[in-house]
Formats: sequence, C-alpha cells, structure tokens
Amino acid sequence: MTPGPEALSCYTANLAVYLASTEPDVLERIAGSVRLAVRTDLGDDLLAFSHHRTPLDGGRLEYRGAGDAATALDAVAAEIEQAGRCLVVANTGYLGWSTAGLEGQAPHLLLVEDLRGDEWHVVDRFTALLPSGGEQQPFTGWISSATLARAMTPIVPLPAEQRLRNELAFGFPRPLPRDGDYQWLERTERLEPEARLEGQWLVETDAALELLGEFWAGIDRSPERVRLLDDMWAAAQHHVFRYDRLLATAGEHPVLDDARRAWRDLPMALRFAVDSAGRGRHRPTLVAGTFAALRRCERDAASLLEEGEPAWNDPSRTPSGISL
Amino acid sequence: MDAVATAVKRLVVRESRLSIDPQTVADDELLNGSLLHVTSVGFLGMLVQLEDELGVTLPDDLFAGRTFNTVGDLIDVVASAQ
Repeated sequence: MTPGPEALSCYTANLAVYLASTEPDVLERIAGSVRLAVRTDLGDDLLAFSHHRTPLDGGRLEYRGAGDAATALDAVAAEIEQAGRCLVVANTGYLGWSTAGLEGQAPHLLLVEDLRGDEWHVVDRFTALLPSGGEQQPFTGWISSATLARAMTPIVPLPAEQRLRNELAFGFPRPLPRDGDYQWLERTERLEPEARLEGQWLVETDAALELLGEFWAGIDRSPERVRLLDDMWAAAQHHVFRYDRLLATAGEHPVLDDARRAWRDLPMALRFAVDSAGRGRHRPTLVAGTFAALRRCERDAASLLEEGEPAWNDPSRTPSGISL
Repeated sequence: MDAVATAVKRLVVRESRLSIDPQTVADDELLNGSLLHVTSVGFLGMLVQLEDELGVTLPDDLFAGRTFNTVGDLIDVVASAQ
C-alpha cells in the first residue's frame, strides 16, 4: 500500500496535509526530496540534519511568534482567514492525543483548518511510538481556544537540537522567533529564496552515513548524543517513506527492499546500542555493522536507480509510467 | 521448555498485556499478530531484560539481515548467545 502523510515525521506529516490542499501530488514531491545531509561544525556532540534537498514549502512559509497566547491565536485566526489554514508549532508535552508528557516535550507542527466561535478544527496525521513506550495517535477534531493555546505552550528553554530541527524543518534554514514565544507559520507570496545551507555540511549520503557511524560509535564516551536519536529516527522514517512509495508503485525489487529494511532497522539498532552503553555494554561493532550495511544498501539502491531510471532521483518531476 | 523459551514467552505475554499461560504460546506465534502485540519499543526492552535475566550478551549482528517475526525467531537469537 502506498504510504500517506502518517508515514512521515512530526514536522512533515502535517506539512504534507497543509500543502496537499493546493498541491495534490505533494507526497510525490516529498518522496523525491528525501536526502540525508549532516552539519558537522557545531561541536563534537551536536549535529544538524537536512532531510530534504529542495525546500518543501517553496520558501513561502515563515515562522511568526507572540509573547502571549491571545495574540498568537488572533494571528492564527487571521492566517486561517487569509490562507485557509495555518500550521502552528505545538508542544507534544501538551497534546491530549500524545502520551509524551512533560518529560518528552518536543516541537510538533499541528494543522489548524477552521475556527467557529471558541473552537478550532485541528488535524494531526502524525503517529508514532514514543521512546517511553507510549504513543502519539492521529487526531482530527474541534478543540477549544484554551486547549489550542495549551498545545502551543513554548518549550523553555528550547534545547539546541530542537531549535535546529525547527530551523531546518523544510530542508533549509529559516529564521525562528525568540525562544518562549507562541509560534506559528504564515504563508508569504515572496519568490522562492536561494536554497542554501550555511556552515559545513556533508550532503552526500555515503559521507553522511560514514560520519554518523563514527558519531554513534562514541556514544559510550558522550552519552549526551542520545538527544540526536530522534534525528536518526526522522532520517529513517523519511527514507522508508521514499522506498515504500517506490516499491508500491514501481514494483518489488530486492535491492530497494534491502535499502528500505536497512533504514527501517536503523533506529532500533541505535536505540539498542544506546541503551546498552547506558548499562555499561558498549557495542561499537553493532554500530559499525549497522552503518556499514546501510551504506552498502544505499550505494546499491542509488546505482540501481541511476542506471535503471534516472528520473526516480529527480525531485522536480515524476518519471513517465511511474507514480512515486 | 528450556529457560530461554520460558523467559521469552513470559516476556512477550507481559509485553502484550495478556493474562494467559506463557507455555500456551507457540513458537511460531507472530510477535505482532492476532494474539501478541509487541511494539518495536517493547521489543527492545525485552532484549535488555533477556540479557539481564539470562546473563547473556546478544550478538552485535543482532539486527543485520535478521527479521524477528515470530516468538521462535527471538528464542533462536537468544539461545545462540548462550
């Protein structure tokens, strides 16, 4: 079955729903945009990730912020009036349909589609198991202004890795409002800006995976690296999404299936390695083997796609005869 | 039933929040099927518990090319670590 928005990450699932109202084939574009790029100049224990090689929003969404909930909700209402819908930056710790709790607070894009009196119609297609063992369920329905304001509770202080995820949610950096603000996204009519990553980045998948293998092999020396596990989960989720759509429409192929499986298993292997390191059982061989297998699968898949049908890797168009 | 199979079946029953005799769970029962409901997060927790309870170290190629579909798949990998 071809995967839908629910198979994407906490940023892209509802962004896809937002964009789909004016771009019916947005899932094809998102699948074609998937990549893994890693920023390497942020210190020994922090990395940034870009998961999309083209700006998913066309450069037209800008973060806005307000210091109080009432001002923020007025602005969200105005954006719904103007654009028909609005993405807000929610906090998973305050979502009634997530069991993340205050210990698991994280930014999350939530789609608000309508307003009637004191109620807001929200759509959240994201679903995931949480490291705590709980889960976040999809939700569509009407919630009160008080509930929406609570769902938008700012995370204070915002951890560096979460700030980077917000900045790079669409694949390229966006200015953020000040920490502590209630935040949402407004649609602008400006021309698409130049898509540029600032700093030192590895934009080739193989080089990025090589670095990540070394990074995670050092988890015993730097346990704080665990905060980047969610980035690895997102990378895996996006790549599985891409391969699932290819396999669903272009037909089964063992090379693509192997690559899909390698990405699918990556978060589990890393979580096991991290948990083991936390119990004094360092597993560098598990980490090295996992990344070596993934690199091999990715190289094989890339060769197949380039040789067999170059258009599969072209995010700007859908190949003839193949619906991604 | 040996110690590995006993421990694995006890844990999959608990993880699935069932109130059944673990010995009634067949080796070919799916970990995520009509009877058992083991999530990926729960599965990882079971691996850790099995290492601790049985005093084994699971192999570093645990996830390499291996698929855990059934209770027996999990029993096999733990037994091989003894």
